[in-house]
Amino acid sequence: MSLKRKHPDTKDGNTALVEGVRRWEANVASSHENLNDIVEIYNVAKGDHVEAAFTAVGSLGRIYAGLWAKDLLKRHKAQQSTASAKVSEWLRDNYNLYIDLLRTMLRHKEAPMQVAALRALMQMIEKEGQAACRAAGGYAFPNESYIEVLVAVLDNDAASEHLLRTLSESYVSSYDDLRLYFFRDIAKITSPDYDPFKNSTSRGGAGKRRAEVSAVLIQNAFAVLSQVRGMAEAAGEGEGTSSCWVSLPSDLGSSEPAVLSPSAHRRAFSEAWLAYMRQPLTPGIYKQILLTMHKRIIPHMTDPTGLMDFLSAAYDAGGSISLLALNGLFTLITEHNLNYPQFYAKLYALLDRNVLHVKYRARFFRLLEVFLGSSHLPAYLVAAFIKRLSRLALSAPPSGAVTVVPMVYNLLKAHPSCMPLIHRMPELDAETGEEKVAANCDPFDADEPDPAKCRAIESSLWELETLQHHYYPNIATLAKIFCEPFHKPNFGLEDFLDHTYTTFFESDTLRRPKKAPALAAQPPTSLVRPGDALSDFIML
Amino acid sequence: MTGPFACDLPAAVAPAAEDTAKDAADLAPSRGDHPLNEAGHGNGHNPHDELSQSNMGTHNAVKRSTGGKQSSLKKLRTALSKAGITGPKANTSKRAKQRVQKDAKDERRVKLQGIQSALNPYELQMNRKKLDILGLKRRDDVVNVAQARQRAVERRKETLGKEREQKGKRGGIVDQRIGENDASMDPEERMLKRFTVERQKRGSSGGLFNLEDSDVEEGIVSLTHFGRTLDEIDNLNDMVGSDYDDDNGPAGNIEASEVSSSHFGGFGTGNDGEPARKKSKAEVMQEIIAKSKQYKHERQMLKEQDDGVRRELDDDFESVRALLFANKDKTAASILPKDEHDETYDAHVRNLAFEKRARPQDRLKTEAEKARAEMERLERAERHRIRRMDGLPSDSESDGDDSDADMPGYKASNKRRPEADDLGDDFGAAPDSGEADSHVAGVSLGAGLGVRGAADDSGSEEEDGSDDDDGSEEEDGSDGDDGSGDDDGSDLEESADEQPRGAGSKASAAARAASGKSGSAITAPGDELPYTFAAPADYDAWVELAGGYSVDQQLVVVRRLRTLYHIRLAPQNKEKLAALAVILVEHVAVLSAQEPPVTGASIDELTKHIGELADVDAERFGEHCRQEIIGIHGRIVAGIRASSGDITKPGSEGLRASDLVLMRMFVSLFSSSDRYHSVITPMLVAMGQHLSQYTFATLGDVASGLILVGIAHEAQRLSRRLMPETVNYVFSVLAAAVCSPNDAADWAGPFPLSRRQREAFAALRIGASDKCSDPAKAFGVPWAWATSAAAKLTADEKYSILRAALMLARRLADCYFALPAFVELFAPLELLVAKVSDRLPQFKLHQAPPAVTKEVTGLREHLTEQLQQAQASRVPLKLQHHRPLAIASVAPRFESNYSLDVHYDPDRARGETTKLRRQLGRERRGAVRELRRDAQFIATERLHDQLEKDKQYAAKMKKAWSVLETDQSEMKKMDKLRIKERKRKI
Repeated sequence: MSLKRKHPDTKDGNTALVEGVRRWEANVASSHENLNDIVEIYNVAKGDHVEAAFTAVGSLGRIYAGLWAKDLLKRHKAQQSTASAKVSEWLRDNYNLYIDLLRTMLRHKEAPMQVAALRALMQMIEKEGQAACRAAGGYAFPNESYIEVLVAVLDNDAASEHLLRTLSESYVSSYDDLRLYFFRDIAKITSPDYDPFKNSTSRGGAGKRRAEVSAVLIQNAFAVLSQVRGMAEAAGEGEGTSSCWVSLPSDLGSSEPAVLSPSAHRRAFSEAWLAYMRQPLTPGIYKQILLTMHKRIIPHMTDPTGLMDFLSAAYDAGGSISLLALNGLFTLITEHNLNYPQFYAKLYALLDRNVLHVKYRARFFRLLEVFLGSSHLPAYLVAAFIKRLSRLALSAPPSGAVTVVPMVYNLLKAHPSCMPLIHRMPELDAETGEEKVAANCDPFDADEPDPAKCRAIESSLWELETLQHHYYPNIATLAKIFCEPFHKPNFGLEDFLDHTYTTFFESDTLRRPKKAPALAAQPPTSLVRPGDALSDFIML
Repeated sequence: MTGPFACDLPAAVAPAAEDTAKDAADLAPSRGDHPLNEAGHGNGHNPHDELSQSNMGTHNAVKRSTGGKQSSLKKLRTALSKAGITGPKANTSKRAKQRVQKDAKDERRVKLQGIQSALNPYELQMNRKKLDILGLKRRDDVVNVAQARQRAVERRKETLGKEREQKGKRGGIVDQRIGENDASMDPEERMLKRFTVERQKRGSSGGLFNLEDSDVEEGIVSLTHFGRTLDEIDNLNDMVGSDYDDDNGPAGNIEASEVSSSHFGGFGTGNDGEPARKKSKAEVMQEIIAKSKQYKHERQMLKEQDDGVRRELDDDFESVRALLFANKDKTAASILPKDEHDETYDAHVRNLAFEKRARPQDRLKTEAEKARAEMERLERAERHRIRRMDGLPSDSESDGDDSDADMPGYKASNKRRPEADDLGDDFGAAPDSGEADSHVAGVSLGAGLGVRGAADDSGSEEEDGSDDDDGSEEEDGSDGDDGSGDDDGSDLEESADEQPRGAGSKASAAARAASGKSGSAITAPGDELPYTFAAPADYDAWVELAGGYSVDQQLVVVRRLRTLYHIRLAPQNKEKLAALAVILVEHVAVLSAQEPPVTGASIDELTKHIGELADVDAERFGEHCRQEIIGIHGRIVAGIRASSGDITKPGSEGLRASDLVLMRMFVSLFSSSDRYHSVITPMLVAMGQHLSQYTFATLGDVASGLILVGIAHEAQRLSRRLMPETVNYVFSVLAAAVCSPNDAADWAGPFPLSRRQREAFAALRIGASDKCSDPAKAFGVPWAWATSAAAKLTADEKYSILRAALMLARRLADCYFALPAFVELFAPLELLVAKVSDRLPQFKLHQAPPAVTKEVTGLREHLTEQLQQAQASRVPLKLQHHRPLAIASVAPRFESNYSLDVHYDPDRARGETTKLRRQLGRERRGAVRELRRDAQFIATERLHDQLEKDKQYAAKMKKAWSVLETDQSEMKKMDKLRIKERKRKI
């Protein structure tokens, strides 16, 4: 409808052309004599009349599908001069023109046109694959055509979201062979040796090797790659039956095709991701990968330790990327036996000034609880973490402080050797028996990156005592537990992780106060009290 | 008397001994009757055998058991002689003997029984004393078991036996006459008792001084017959057929005429007793009526006499009354209209009863006492504030009333406090109802607000989920968030829809107010204003009322409204004033939002009014302020979202200048040092959220941030609670003045810093080219800057901001000096200030205004000193310094007065439990025993019954048998006779 509205003046021309296309299609279908009409239809398809072009593309698709079925589009081995070979050659050229047209249509500004082009291309691949199967007498997948389609879709700055979603949902996720070759092709496309113009000699720019994978391709590839589903079934973990786009022939020949082997799928998956991760990624994609890695990527990999370089690099990057890498790293350490040197020192470094303010705070603290949950950690290390956390709580928002207090409580409970942090008896002088007065009683060095050297265990947690004077009453109350005997059971940290300013605000405002709020003893006589902090600098 | 009894027995006693033996034989059958003997001596051992054996000298048991040294025979003898059974008989004549014989026999038997039971050792149970305490008498030293059992049986017979007899029976008459079944009472005693009870009953029914019922008091119970009292009938002596008259008539034979005239009330015949002339029924009735009229008349006469006397008394009383109630003479004069009747009298009596007694008036207070009272009030207020600050409930419930009386609103007009002898009517009952009214009104209005607030709320709630993500997303400086980006966008639109609607009404009202103001701007404040106004119920009504006046005139209107609707004038004024307080809060918000801003003086004046009106209905006022805070929070959240999107975009929504004014006002209106406060705490949370999540880009942003810090500092001034957001914000503004926006490492410090914020703070950086226009300027921050959207700051503005931040930093350091982590908190500030003072010279110190440089150096020195002090006074924590628990002792406990009966359980609670458990066991055993004995008793009774029945049956059968046997024998006799006769005949 929108197409018609755009060209109201050419309506008559359109209908005439559409009728022409239908007539020519019927001609081609009726006899081989009329194959020349293909050129007519192609011209219409290339033309400006959108509706007619749309019809023409459809009819060309039907025609070539028929030709594939009749094996008329087969490539011949040598230059043969037989008539059929010549027809075949001519048809082949026209077919290539058609495919090129479809590729350009993938860059069409209208998303429906892009999707239609993709569907047409995929249909061609299906027919070509069936022809190839017939020719080979076994299973054959026309990967050369497929990789070109993939490159055309992904390396496409006009690619609509709809197009990418169609590719991932309707094709790659749904069909095992498409998924398998998609992974293989991604690995190929992103490898530096890949020459996108190797096969398309017909177009200009042949022989030009690209310097690097384009940013658009990386972006689009991630959009598809991250949405691919069905790995579990393909990798033989699920019970789902495999379905193939190029349908499997009844007799598979001597060897079983790779499509049916779960390990091949896994290998392709691993290779695709590893290859993809070698690309220069934007921070957004980087974070997305890290966010989903432990759930979506690691379980399907043949050898997850291959991710170690990636994760280590991310962990060393600092900031929120490190926090996110922690999750994948944790999976590797616990399930895949990864040994990470200086892990705790790096974890200590992650506790920077922003950690209590960032979005991934809850995620990080869940992991931190696990890492510090071991009872075999030395006291100095736990003390360093406690001191660092307390120091951070001093400048944290209430939602951060409310996480730190129960965490420190649990740590102190699990490591009684850290109790001097909150209760230190003065040392007695050996000779006089009197209490020694320390000159500087805080030897803690906040800037020391090594938890072993920061001397936290010799310090005291004045920060937590200060939290007892926090302006938010719940935190002040919570911080009082350090003054009580440590008889309480451990806190469930999960209850304290998901607070925000807004949840605090709502918990305060949603409940109705039981009694009238207390008014000031002296009603104000002016807006700004003389002697007020505002009166220092405000000029009314 | 230790020797063998037989040897010592004097000859003279021998006949007496014989006598004793006879008595013992007498006793023997009675023993069998005694039902308890079986229980007492189950082995069938007869004590009397022992008694007889005791003649042989073996009576040690008796000797021991009675505790005496006499032999039991001797004792028996003395007992008998004492009872007068043995020994010399009175020398009386045979006739006299015969006369008393019967009585004596009974007496003798009773006495013998007593002696017997006293002497039977097997009936006595000795309770052995382990420790004999001199002078201590125990009831259970010797217990006569048999007697006790007998008593128990008797008691059962009375209760259980009665019940058993009554079982299965219905109805019956319970004799409730006093003492009727009490055999111990004489008939005399019985009558006396009944009479007493009757007197008591009558005495309690009427009042002691009940004049009206005086005849009842005299005991004349007006039992009547034919309308005449019985006394009269007695006196008239005309009772027909009375026994007294009827001497002649044959006893038991009543004449038919008499029967007809007297039985059934005489209504059957209507004849009088006189047979000569029969009165007709009408005549009788007439007579009765006449008589009753006569009595009635007499009574009336009597009453009139009484009334006359009473009236005289009343007249006299008036003169006395004038003396009694000196100050009430006016009411007293009108108290008794002369010819009023009893009803008015009663009314006056009631009035008198309820009237307040005269009392000495309170002395007027001296100046010193007033000052003292004021001081006490302030001290009390401070005490309560500190309690609330510590999170304890303030115990102000009781003297909340006091403070009500002390309300400044009252004070302005009424110097004197209400006193006890004030006419209490108008504020005794009426204010209560007024309060109830206002409460209802407040609730309904509050609900209305609540609905609006809830709408706002839900809006902000929906925004919220993504909001925080968004807010903190901005913190970590990422610029791509593919996952949640879309959702955020849609939410944002929603809130954009939501927000202006909430504020729309207010904005339009403000527009109206402003337009009205401009329209009447020509009129001077003193111009003709009406003197009376209708009290506005809501803000729209207020705009209607005062929208047309200038701000100064509006202040006059407020003053006049407060006078017109003073709370003392009418009970419903309370509600109106409460509404006015709420309206003024809204009005302040509107005034402070408008352009050009109103003068600070008028805002101050309004603040003062609000402060005085707030406690008229603190609940409603607080609720309104809460709703304001919720609205402000919604704007803060929207502002944060807007600022995180694009740093150069001026925040169209977000915190407004009026919000700052309101928040500042709330801090001083409410008791902001409370540990939890339903208005202040959420307000602080909202402020914290703004300070920590907003991206401060423009001059307005930074200035309002500084103002927020100032407000927060004021809220924490007394309680000194740490608000990390304020510290972080001040630090970052200070750092922004000198740090490079592109170098993250330059911004050392504990405060969090996102890249976005760091880049936005570039506007504050004082560069080499920044030369202030006039170094001698004051460099203050005008309030109007809060609304500025300038992204580029002039040098003057930068210096002003820097100076404000420095001053706030100093305030904060002073405020938090006492905190244990002062060093951790403010050591970074020292470094920062050092950086500022180091780097300012780079930018040509001579160009930096002295107001700023002075502040920098002053703060630096101040901080160094404070940090040194804090370091020096700091000691390691001893948070776990709990009272040591005592080590459990293993030394045995020693009780100085140990007693077996006392349970020395160290655990008091356990001891109590044990005690209770023992008591329970005892009670249970007792109950079981009781039940068992009851069952035994019932079984015995049943057996008796059965035996009785059997006996009766046997007797009956015997009788029948005998009859039959007689018959049989007679028949046989007859047969024999017949046979004989037949034989004779033959």
